[in-house]
Amino acid sequence: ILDTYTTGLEMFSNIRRFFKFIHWLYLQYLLNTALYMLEPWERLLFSTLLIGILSTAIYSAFVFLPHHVRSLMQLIS
Amino acid sequence: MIDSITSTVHEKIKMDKNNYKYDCELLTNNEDDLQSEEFEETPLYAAVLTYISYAILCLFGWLRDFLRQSNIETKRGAIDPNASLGFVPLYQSYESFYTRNMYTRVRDIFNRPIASVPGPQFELTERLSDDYNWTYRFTGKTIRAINLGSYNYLGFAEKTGPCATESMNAIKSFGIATCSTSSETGTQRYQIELEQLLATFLGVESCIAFGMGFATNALNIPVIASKGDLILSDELNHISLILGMRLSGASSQTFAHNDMNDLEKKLRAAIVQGHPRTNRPWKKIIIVVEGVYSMEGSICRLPQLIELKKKYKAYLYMDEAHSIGAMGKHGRGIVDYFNMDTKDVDILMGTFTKSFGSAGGYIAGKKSLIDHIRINSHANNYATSMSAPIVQQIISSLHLLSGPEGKKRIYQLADNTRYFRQKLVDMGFIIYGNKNSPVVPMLLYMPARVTRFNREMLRRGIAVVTVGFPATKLLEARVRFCLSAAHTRQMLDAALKAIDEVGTDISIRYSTRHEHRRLRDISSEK
Repeated sequence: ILDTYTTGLEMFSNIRRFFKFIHWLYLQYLLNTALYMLEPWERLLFSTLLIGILSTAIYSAFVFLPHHVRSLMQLIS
Repeated sequence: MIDSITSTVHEKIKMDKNNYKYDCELLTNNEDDLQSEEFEETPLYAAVLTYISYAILCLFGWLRDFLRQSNIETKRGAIDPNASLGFVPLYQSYESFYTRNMYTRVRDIFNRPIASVPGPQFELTERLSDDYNWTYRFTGKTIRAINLGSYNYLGFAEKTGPCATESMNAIKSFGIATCSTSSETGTQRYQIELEQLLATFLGVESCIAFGMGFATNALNIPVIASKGDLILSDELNHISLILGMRLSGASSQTFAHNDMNDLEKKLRAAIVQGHPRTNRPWKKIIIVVEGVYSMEGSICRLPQLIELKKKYKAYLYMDEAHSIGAMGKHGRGIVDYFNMDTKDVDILMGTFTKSFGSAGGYIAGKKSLIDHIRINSHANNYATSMSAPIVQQIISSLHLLSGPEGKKRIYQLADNTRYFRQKLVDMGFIIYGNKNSPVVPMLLYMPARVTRFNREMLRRGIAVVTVGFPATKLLEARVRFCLSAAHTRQMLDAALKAIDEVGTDISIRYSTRHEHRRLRDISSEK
């Protein structure tokens, strides 16, 4: 069995690559939704609305989905 | 009837809706096919994301318009002076909405002023904006960049060299202004020399030259066509041709781009049915095409066009603005490229702006046609005739083109075209058009990617021209590279390296027919 450990220096470059990857993902988000062309306050507005809608949807799914699925199963059986 | 019988091209190239396969049993190899063109379809995800981008831009446009209307924000653009007096509003069309809210946001990538001669490398003035492109301030510095946007196909845009010296000497002998129209006292000796030289260069009987290329089309189509004629024009023709058709008063129909089946159908319908209500026969039918379409990079199908025109006895008008000088073994245009007879094309038109490094346009054909145009054309009777240094530049470049220096330029341009296009296609970008056309459109689709591409390329020292909505269809925003004989292999390699980097950074490798590869992988293979 061969165990490989990252040395201290390699960890820095990995963290830098990770941040670069996050930056690249953020750039893709800006480019695909045309937020790249908008002013900073418009970007903030749109991102806030998007995160608000998404988080509300996810929270509702977490809270209500198990109950809905259980009652559906009871209806079927 | 022209039918597509067999397709002997390589299996990898699929049939596009525009890809017309003609009777090509003589061709065994795709390399010899002068008409092989590719127009890959838009990928679905790119189309969806482009529509989403425009929807978001539209929403924010409405928001900003509302803020400007209710005076929460100051109005920066054109203001209607009579808005409060109950007049009909001046600015309501979608185009001004588009201009205010989408074009102005990224206006710094268009219309950049240049500070030197537009050769293969040039200087751009640096301009910065503090208020999101409503106003600019010039810092006074210039940016040196490789020029992939000028129509400098043969590299004649230079300020030193034999052409420039002879143009300066022409100013000393003839002055600058002719102060008259061509039909009065404005026809100078150099104009006659130019027309004769151009006629021998193209292999036609006679030729006439005008001072403006756009006006050559717009003011001379009314001379050859009038009410009672039918003009069949390609759907992607330039606005100068469309303006000329409208001014002439002739009826016009468009046929699908480069689609010879559609053209034949319309020709047959026109000959059989005649005018729409009275069914009288058309006096004449003129087919108007361009040699090289600059937004698509495609070449007109000249052999099939000549076959059609001879069969149905129509006239052919070919606008060789982008192809004269750039295509063909001797630089004589599309007729030379396909090795056909110039007598088959009735009216050859071209401009001097692109390959000859000058300004103006010409029409060439039979002597009777040119004499008729000389008497009846508004551009000849009312426009000032061409100026001495401009004509001398064209004459010098024509002399150069006939000699060995010209051959070198033509071969260099063809070499650059093949190399650049092949590398881009191998990397996995979607490139439209014929593999021999020096205009290389690369598709980017989304408006944000277009602006990012342009800015990142300029940061790396390459100036490109990106075009978006009104000039192209809404979905198909593109960047158009114009190659030149003056570009060296090193410049093209620098450009390819930059395109590779930026292409990976913003992921614009959309092609599904070719593998996506990095430039270093392609170079290491060869």
